[in-house]
Amino acid sequence: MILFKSPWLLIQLIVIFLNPWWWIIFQRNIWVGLLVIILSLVVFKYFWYSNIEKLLLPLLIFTAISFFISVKDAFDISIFRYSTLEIQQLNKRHEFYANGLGKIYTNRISLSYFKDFNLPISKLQRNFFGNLDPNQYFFASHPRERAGVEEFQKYIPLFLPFFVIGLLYSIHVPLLALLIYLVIVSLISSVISASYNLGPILFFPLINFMITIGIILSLKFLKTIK
Amino acid sequence: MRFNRKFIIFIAIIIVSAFIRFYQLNNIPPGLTIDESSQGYNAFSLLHTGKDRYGQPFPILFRLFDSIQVPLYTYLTIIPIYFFGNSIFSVRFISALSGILLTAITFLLLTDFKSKRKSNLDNIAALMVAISPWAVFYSRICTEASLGITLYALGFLCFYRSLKHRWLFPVATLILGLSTHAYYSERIISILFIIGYTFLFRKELFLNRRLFILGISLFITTQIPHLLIANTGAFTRRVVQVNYFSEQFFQNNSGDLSRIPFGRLLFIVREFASQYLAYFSPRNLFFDPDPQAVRSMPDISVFYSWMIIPFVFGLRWLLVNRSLPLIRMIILLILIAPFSASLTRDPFSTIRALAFLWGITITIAFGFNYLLSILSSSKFRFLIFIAVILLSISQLYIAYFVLLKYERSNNYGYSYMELLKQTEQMKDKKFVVDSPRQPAAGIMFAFFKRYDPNLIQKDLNPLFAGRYYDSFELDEPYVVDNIEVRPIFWQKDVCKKQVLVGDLLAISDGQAKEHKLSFIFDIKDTAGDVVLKAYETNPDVGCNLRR
Repeated sequence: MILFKSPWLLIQLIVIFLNPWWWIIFQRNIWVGLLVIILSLVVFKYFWYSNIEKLLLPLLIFTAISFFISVKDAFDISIFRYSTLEIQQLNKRHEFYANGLGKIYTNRISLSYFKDFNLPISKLQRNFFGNLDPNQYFFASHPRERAGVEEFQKYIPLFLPFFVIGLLYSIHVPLLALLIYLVIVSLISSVISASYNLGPILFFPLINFMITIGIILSLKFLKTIK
Repeated sequence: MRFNRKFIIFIAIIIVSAFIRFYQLNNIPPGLTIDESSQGYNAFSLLHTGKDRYGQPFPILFRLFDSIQVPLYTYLTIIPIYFFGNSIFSVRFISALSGILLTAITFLLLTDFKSKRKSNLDNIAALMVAISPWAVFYSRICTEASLGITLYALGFLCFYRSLKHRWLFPVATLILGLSTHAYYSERIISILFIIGYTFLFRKELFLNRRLFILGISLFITTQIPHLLIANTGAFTRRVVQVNYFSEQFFQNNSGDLSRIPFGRLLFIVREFASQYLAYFSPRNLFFDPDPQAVRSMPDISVFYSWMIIPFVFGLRWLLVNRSLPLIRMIILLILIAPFSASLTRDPFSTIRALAFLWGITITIAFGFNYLLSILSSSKFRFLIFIAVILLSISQLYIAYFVLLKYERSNNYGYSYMELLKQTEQMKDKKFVVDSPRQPAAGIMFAFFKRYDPNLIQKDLNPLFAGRYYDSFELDEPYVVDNIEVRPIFWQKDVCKKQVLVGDLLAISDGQAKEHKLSFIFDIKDTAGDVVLKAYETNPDVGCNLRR
């Protein structure tokens, strides 16, 4: 009941149903499609109306469910498995590092780091920053489409200005709880493959939220002008 | 400036900046690119003959095969060539010096900035510029863009200071006008900046209209050289080469848009929006390097990954303090600076967005300063600061001084420099170096050999007489002592006693066998892979076979 008392939720619903991403999710997995709608509404209600405590648990639960579904379907195995090309590059770079760094490299700690941790950390960073790329959401990653990833446009570019307004508002205020949630979602999404056919669904409610508050703020601004 | 702790730290930062930029400048990156070779040889030619290698006296723009280079960097390179001779160091000297000056300008910009929190904002910003990957990278290659951003930043500083000292306004416009002769991007963003600045500070500017008009007049005066060649192909050549407005590009890339009304307009708007947004993407700023290998280092983007944290705080800081004049100027800079780059089809082309990256660096500095200031313990603050800086410098060293040296040597023509050394040992032999994939090899050879510019001019000048700024489709064969740089003509070349040199695509093992060529030597890159092979012809046998 708490969810449906607010008029701004209507805008949130319009944003959800007007974006191609939700339709793609819904076509490919009906249950995830429904899940992300509920999560979006909970996120909106929780963060816009300043942390209604009753919604914290549902927020965490639905986020966890979304996370586990994503991990089950698309855990990024490549983080810990190296391709042939990567192994070749590692071997070559072993020589370069040894020549260029000397004893700073040729000790147990450095050798272990470069052999076992450097590449996985780099891949986690790749996924992390890939999810923070606004072009992925509004332009199907154009002009830097990712190799081996089915890129699809998630939001119509018309929503972009509202997204920017919402994002800047979140930073300016700041909506601390939202930013913490964004950081957590970004970190846990790093283990999910970029080629997941539903996209980074944990970001779905956040992007919707930013767009919605961008629209709300724009409407409020227009009201003040009149 | 008082001689105090802040000043001592500033001097230390300048020394760090200078060290990072000049350390092994001659060797890393290994070799010279097409642009670098061209700049170097043109400067050498101007020094000795007053003309570029095509015989054009003091050009307004320099031609380079089918492209055009802006002039200021080349003219300034005459100075280090005069003092240090023809070397990689002298070609890159102006870039390195520009990088150090940019560090100092950043300090000066923020040195009087009053912050509510106790701050070392000026030194932090200077240090960020000193060690940021983009700033280091572009200070260590011969590129007009590094000079362009330094002049732009100097103009920006003068604009800011002119809010208190009005007489600086004409100085600022003059410097900004000069920056348009340093790099292409500045042509557009300078004009946009002046318009934006005038709008933001119109009340202050119009208090003294004479100075304002003088300033604008000076800026327009600096544009006269551009106007003199505005009707030639040279003025717009670079834009024509890299834009996405052409019908052909639209047909090849528009997808479904080609079938709807106003499709081309929508395509252009979409292209611009996506290119513009790409410059603000955290993925591009903090992780994925520039896709052009010759414009980036391996494994590191324009900023270090950790800088995303102070970047967010810096953004907030800008928003909260947006009423302050300097902050308004920085916001204006960040918004307009990617404009030029966004008009081109190259994704995230960092060389065209250095002014933008400078603005982001200052934003990061604001954020970093804020984060340090909220730590109550000065020891903890110091430890965090040192840890972050050491981590960054380590990352930079690995990416630039180790990986780039070994993995990118082919992008810098290293193997052709090694080839030159071989030809010096075999002066009795004639060499033909295959050119399609490295057309600048001839210029590089001419530069290092200090080849008489009059002889090069004699060869090149007749090719385009009277059409220096209009023709861009000419082949340019180079003959430098015993070396010819041109495509290999199999029918003729195997019938002369000479050495044919080419990469693995130019001369395959099959061709060597077919033409009875004798293998003489190969040239490896810094990673140890064979890049060039040299074969001697056997006209008695190889030519007879063809008959």
